[in-house]
Amino acid sequence: MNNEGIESYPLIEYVYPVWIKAFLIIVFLTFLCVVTVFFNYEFSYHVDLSKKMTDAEQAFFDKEYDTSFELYQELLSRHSNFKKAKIRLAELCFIISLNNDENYMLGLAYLNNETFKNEEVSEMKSYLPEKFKDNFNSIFTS
Amino acid sequence: MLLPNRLISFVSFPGVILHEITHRFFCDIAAVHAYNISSIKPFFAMAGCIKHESTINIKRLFFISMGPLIINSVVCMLLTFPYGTKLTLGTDFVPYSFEWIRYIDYFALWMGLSAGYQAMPSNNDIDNILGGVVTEKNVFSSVVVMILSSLRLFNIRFIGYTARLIFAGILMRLLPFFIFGEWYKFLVFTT
Repeated sequence: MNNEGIESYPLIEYVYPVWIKAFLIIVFLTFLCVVTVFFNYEFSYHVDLSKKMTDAEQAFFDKEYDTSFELYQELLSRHSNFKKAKIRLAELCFIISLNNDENYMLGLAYLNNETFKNEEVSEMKSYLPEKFKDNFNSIFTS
Repeated sequence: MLLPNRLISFVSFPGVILHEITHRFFCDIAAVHAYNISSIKPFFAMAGCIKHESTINIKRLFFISMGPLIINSVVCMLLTFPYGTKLTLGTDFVPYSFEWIRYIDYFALWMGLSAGYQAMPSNNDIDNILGGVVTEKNVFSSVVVMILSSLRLFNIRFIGYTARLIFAGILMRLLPFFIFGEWYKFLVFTT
């Protein structure tokens, strides 16, 4: 901003060009539209989904593995791209697998066609029985 | 080659327009004459500017210069609220119910982030206030000078671009965090 132009006439207060008014109307209508659409079509679904995710996560940390497994299964069936659910389901399979190869393979199946960050791989490895760690490392090299 | 600053100003032109309109609006409220406004000058070093008469009133100076920080921030928070809510709830991976909702959401996101990006006062804005505050010698004015001087960070080339983007991102998450943050999950999800 500059303080020049005293010889110019000042702009009339509260009188704005048409295009500025149109711009402000567009901004306001955009806000109205996006908020109305969000609360009408999406909000309740997102809150419900978030609640289920929280319940599943809580059950996992409370060692209620069956409940957690069911909830994550339901979440994954609703959204096949839900990566966190795949990771937790794999971890649940690893936890209950002990030395059971079948459960271990089921856990691996949940991780198909996904890429994982180093932290995610380390987290999954922490739930693996010792027997399967070498095989897991060979598949998911950090 | 198009300089990054001018390119970014061009892409975030809704924020630039809102920034200059806000200056003009607060000039009107403060009864300070505005002489010229150039809300959008794509590819210029100064994407927009406004000329107004001098004033020694600190409060008026403050609101004229800091008005965009307040108004642009509020507009950013409001327009990015739906997307920010999805991020806060952790459900941003969910596809949209209808395809047209995606376009509206992205349009609002672009306008909101542009407003947030252009919220910070320019060096001219900061100089205007500092010119009035520096004359007063007390602890409050010293604190104000420190805070305002630190805002110059957002106008440094390259560092400023990143800082402004981070600021816009924080604004996007701020309102949903307060409304749907941990306390909401505790209160609603556990009952």
